[in-house]
Amino acid sequence: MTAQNTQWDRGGRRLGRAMIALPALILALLIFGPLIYSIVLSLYKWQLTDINSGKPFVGFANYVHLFTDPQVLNAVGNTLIYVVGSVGTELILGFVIASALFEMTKGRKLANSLILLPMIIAPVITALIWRYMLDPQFGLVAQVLSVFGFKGGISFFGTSQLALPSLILVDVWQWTPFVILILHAGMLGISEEQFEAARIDGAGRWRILRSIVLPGIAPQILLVLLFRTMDTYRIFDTVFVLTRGGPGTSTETIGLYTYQTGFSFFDMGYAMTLGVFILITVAIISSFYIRLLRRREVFQ
Amino acid sequence: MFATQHGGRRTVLTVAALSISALLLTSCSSSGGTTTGANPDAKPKTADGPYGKFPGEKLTLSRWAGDPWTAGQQTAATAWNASTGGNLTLAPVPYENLHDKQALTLSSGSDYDIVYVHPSWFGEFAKAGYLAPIDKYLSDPKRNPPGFSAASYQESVLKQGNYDGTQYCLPDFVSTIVVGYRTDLFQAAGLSAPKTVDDIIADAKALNGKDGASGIVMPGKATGAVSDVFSSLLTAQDNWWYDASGTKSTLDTTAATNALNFYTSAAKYAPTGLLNMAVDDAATVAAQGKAAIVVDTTPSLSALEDTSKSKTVGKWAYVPLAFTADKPGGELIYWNWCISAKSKNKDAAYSFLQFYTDTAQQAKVALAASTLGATKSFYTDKAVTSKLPFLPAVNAALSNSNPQPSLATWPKIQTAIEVAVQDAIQGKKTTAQAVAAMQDALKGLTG
Repeated sequence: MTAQNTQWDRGGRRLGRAMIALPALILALLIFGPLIYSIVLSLYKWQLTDINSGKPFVGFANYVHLFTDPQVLNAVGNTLIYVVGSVGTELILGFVIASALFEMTKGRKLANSLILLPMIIAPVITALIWRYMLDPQFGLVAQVLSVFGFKGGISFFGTSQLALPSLILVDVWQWTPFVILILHAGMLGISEEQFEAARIDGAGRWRILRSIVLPGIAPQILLVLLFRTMDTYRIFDTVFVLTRGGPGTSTETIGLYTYQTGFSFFDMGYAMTLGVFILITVAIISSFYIRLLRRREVFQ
Repeated sequence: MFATQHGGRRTVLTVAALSISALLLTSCSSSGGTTTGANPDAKPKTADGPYGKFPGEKLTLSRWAGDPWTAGQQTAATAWNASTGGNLTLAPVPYENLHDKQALTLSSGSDYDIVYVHPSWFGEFAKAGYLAPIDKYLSDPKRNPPGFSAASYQESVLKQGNYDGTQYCLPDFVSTIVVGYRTDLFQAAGLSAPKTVDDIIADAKALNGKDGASGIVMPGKATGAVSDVFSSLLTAQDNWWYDASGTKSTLDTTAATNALNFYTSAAKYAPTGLLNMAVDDAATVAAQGKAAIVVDTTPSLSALEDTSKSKTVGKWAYVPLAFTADKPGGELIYWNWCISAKSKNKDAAYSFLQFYTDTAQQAKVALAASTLGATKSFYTDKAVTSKLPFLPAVNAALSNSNPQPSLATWPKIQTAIEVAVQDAIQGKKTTAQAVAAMQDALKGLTG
């Protein structure tokens, strides 16, 4: 009987493996297929406007070009400013608002729902909203400023000094709610006993924040950093709608430069190389955060 | 059994004979580009109607998908079908797939009769033999209205559809850059119509800040329009970006400096946010009475004369861009319509193209979609000129024009040119540095 059971178990396991093999294969193909295809294409010179000349194999020439292309350096620089500016502001602002929400006794649900509104709007629509709000001629902000005597408006997206900070502002408006949502959920997960014990021991607000809240929501902070860093590093849609990388190249991000290379300059081989570069850099940044998260045993 | 086999063989033979007869009939009837029963020389019922009768002929027109232009062309196709008995259907494809779809179809037997051919791949298609010559149709008085010929089109526009001395296409959707100025503000300030770019700058300076309007507005965002304006400024000085081969830069430092000086000087009297203004933004600023002068493309300028979009209807007059009086310059933006070399309905296809690109139909498209025709009489058509008063300025600009660059290498160069202009306006580059950056970008002409 036991031997028969063992045989059944073995058969079941084999059947299980066989049944999982096909979906796993399809999943692997879906995930790794395009990835491998992109890597392969990055080794070719593929000019979309010159379809008669084929796709000559150029080895790592596109990668050599990438590391000597001054526009890549400029785009990565802009992207890093955008990432640090957006994520940093969102984290601080999100933490402050989440703390305020945590301390609220009435209307917390309503406040939560209202705060989430910007997040559910599509980024392109968000960009259009801000475009019309900040328009120096007809925008709401220009109208308000003119009431206070500032005639002529401020060119938020039309000057190199203000364009990138304005883009950061748009991102902060849209994605701070995400940070609030995650951090607030983390705060709610801290047991009430910890706060009570701290209060009995005479801990003040600052001490509770430093010794209980921040360590308690550290995994959530890392999670927010992971997601927002990945998202802001790949930013494209808002920049495309609002500035197209200008004035000059002051807001050209690496995502926008990749798009332009592929779909404006039709240099698909180099665009694939830039795509692989984005993938690798995002993977490096992500692995740093994931390692920190693992150290905190979140995923274990 | 034997009887059945015998009967079967007879049936097979009969079917085969009928098929061969049908094939022979089909091939005979289509060899001349017209099916049996058709009469390509038939005169139209109305003066502006299409020539020829093509009962039962089915034609397909390949174009990019986009309204209001597809809808406008569909209206013309319906009118042509009703008048000729033919059946022309449109096959719109998203623009990004159009070249590949057309190249594949035209190279493999073709089920297209008429094709929209973008300037950047016209040479490729003409060289590959995908397109049918239309010279004999254009010169045949039986296929055209009285007095209509190649000379009926704007010469500079028509020649864009000419390859190695053979005419392949008929044009429409003409556009260029012109200058609009507020007659009421000019009159109040005692200023006369600007004749040169120096006049424009002087007038913009004089009118800047008057009645809440900036002196001048024009596109400043890097979307292609900055390059279009710059191209017009070069053309007005008899200069151009590259030579006929499209591989060697011909940009003259003095001409480029003059053009850039115009842009940077004008920017001083432009409204806030110039560098983030596309063609439509510039037109909106002007239409709302916030600029005394506007430099823009013609489809966008139509907003100035549209009562639903403009507070300044009827207050604008238009002149071409010029560095010296009476020597205007413009950049020619246009579309080409061609007949497939393998089309079995070439007569019918020409009938539609002549009908569609002639003044009467183009006037309808112009009023609906603000694009301009390519025939000379279009620019004197009272119904059109009363609605689109910038037509004489366009006509003058096109008398000295270069076609919008359509080289495969151009988009990257164009981006660099526009960034250089923006950097010069912001003071990040001197004029000399910006011109040098343009010349450096033009090294990319060879790919």
